[in-house]
Amino acid sequence: MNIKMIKNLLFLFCFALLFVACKKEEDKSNWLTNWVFPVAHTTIGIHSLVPDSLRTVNSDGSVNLSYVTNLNTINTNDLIVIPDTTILNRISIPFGSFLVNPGADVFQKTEVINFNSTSRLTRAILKSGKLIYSIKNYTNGVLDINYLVPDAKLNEIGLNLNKSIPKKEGSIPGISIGEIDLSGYSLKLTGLSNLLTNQITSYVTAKLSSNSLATTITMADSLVLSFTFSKLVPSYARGNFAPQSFDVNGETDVTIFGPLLDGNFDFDKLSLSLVLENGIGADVKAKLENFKVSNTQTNQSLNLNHTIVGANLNMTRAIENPYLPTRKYFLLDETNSNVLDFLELKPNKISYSIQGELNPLGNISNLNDFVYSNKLLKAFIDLKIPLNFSAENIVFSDTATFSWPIEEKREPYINKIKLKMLAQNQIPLGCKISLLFLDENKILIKEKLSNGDILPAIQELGSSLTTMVKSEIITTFTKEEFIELKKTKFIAWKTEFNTYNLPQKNTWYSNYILKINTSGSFEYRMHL
Amino acid sequence: MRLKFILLSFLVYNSIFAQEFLYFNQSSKEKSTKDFVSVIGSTETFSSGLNFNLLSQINRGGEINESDKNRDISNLNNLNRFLSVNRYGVFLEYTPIKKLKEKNFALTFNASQRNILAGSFTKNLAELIAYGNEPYLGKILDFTNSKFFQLNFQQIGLGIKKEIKIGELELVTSISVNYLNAKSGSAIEIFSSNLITDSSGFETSGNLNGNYSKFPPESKPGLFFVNKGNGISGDINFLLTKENKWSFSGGINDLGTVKIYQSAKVNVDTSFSFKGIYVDTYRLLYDTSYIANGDSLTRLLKFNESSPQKISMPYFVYLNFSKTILKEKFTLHTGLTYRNNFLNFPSFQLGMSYNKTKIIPRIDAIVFGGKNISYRIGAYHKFKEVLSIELQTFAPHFIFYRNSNSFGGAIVVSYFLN
Repeated sequence: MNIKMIKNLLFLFCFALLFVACKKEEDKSNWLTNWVFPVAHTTIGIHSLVPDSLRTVNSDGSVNLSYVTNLNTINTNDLIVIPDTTILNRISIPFGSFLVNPGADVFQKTEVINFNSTSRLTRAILKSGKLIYSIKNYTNGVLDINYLVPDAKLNEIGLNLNKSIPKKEGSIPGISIGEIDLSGYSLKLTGLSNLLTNQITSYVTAKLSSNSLATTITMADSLVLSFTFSKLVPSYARGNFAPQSFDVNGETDVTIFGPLLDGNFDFDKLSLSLVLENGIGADVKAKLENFKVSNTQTNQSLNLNHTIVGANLNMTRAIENPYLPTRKYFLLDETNSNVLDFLELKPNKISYSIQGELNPLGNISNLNDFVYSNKLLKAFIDLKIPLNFSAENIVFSDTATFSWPIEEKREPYINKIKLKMLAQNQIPLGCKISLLFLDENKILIKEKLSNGDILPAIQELGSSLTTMVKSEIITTFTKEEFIELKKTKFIAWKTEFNTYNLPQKNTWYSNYILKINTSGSFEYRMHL
Repeated sequence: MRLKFILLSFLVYNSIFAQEFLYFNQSSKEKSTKDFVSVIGSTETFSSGLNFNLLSQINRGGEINESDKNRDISNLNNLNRFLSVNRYGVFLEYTPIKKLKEKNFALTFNASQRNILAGSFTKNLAELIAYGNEPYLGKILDFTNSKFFQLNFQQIGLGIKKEIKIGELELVTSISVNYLNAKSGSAIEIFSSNLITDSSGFETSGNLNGNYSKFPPESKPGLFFVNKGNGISGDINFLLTKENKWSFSGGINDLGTVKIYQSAKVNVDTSFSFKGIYVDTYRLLYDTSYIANGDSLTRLLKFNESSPQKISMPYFVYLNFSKTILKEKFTLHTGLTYRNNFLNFPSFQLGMSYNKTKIIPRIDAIVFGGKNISYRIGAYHKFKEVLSIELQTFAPHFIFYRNSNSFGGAIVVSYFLN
């Protein structure tokens, strides 16, 4: 190898070095980037404080907490009882025997059915009930049976049952068993004379089947019929209802105070409207024996103190055409009762007992009492709390599952994360925002408090109008905090409202809202 | 001998622009009676937007500061293209049949491992990666037509070469058919996309219509001989020379397709608006329910598993012309190349070589359709008719122009069998 060759090779070696590069892992190419991303947004308004079902809005836009509930009273099953009634007949010829041709009548029977109800009913429309029948043929011919109740009608057609009963085999009769659904049937219960009550007429005819041979009927032959009107429940009844007493004990949940359980509210008004409605076409005498509110969490209770408690209330009958129930209204407030004390108790239950008497004066309507099963004696209450209050520590929150969003390998390249919240507040209450980081058992790991308050809106004197106030809050998560936050499984957003100018009360209007938008930003060192 | 080198230098540097030509050109340098084997390694990256300065910084490591970023980003076009090709392998020209040699035919064989990375990206996409989205709050970032394609494959080819004498002219033509064995690859195609984060950072919205495919779908590519798809490509080239005066060459290479057996493909066509999680505040603390609003992008994704795909190779067409000047001391070179698929732009080269030394140097300037001119140097030397070495590099560190938008190089060592 000569000198020139060596020179050439050296040149080539140097040239080849151009393609070689060494780079340590820790000296990767990197550059700084800045990122901004939306994190969360929320709107807090009256809908956040009170669910739709618990609020009403007055004409001026002010909002009430409002809770309406029915109290259980009585039902038609208690009021009108039509006992099960069975008609059992054995029909035969009194003596001798005769030959019957196909198609000819064998037996006939007219039966008056009396329902032994304590009330004297002239008409009933059935909500439910059935007719159970059993027909046994002890003759040597096939019998076609027709059972007709003309005054029991469905769609203007009388109840009509036709059955073909096989002939007996030895001593074993031909049998037909079944039932008819009587739901929707209208019963005229005035008998054939139209002057009676609780009475209806049925007709049975038995003919030798036209497919049978001529058959001899003897004294030993018979037809055994059993018809049972069972579990008749009227949706409407008319007649004279028997005077009777009833007791109603009930309990109902009250949710109106749910939104007020946390924090300290200071209200100055509460009203309770009690409405009693007699939808029955008969007089009712009622007495509210007891009305008690209780908080099952604190085991505290309070009896309503008002003149209505223990007083006899005579409710005259409803009018049928046009239908018009009678009502009595009672407004209970801080001037005539102790209802304002309910606010202290924040009850979640109401219990009550009502004693009543139907037709205390007997039959004074000449059989014109009436009742609809869905229009009975009703009682309902309307609790109303105008949202004019001062507040301390009123907390709104939301919790979501959370997993640490940053991959471990990327953590070294992020310096810190900054959250920026922009609040636009139209509510004349100030608040604090905090983020709660919770572990898998929802135990608090860390609470990141905002370093500034959301300021209240400025309320114009004597007006529902407020001037919106903007507040910007910045919270920073340092790298050191990442270690703690990585254990987080749930994240809760907490908004805590306070009245700034206690004890002044603010009325809450339906248009009051607080909008909060949150963005995050961080520096990320990109690397290759 | 010197004249012969001069002639050879016509050919050597015409191949620099696309090193795939080396096979053909090495073959073209020699008469078909010469059998030889070449070992070839090359890497080449060029772009209409990325420049050597940035790539050099990435290669060096360390922090890329704001002024560097600003300079690199300012060089970008609205839509930028890039191509990176790596290849190593062997080329053999060997004609054992005497009758073929006598008729100026030669047989060729090539085997190589290749990797192609190509793509295009918008300036906005580069800005987003360089700075993050904070400097662009309230502005629309457009990523439409950003595409990335990568294919790793092996190539085995057989071909035939023919020399024809036409008066003073000599014409060399060759054709090669290559079997392609695909190993791995991926593609991202963004047909249309934009992103806007409002000036406060409280809402991000945009749209995305595109797809992503990857093969093999399940994991890493696997061993050297792994087979995930098959394909065929063809190369056709010609060279016309008038001894010591001029040469004219051209051809089309990598014309073919690869069919991938299995790939994972995700189609996305969605617009979205994200304001963060909606905090449904109410009065019961620690309730676990919440409503996520507008962040359900994943449900809009459509996954197609195991679908075969046919991928077109990024073929290229070239035309080169060289002419000796100044009493054959120098050779002037010009060339035009067009690449399809992700690049779709022509490039032009103009260079000069000096023919009076044993190691023949050459320098070229290349315009890739971007704002910058790239430089390239190379050299060729032959040792006693036994061994030849050819080297070339784009925009090497020590020369001058750091804004060059190409880099890389190639080395070819050939051993002559007779």
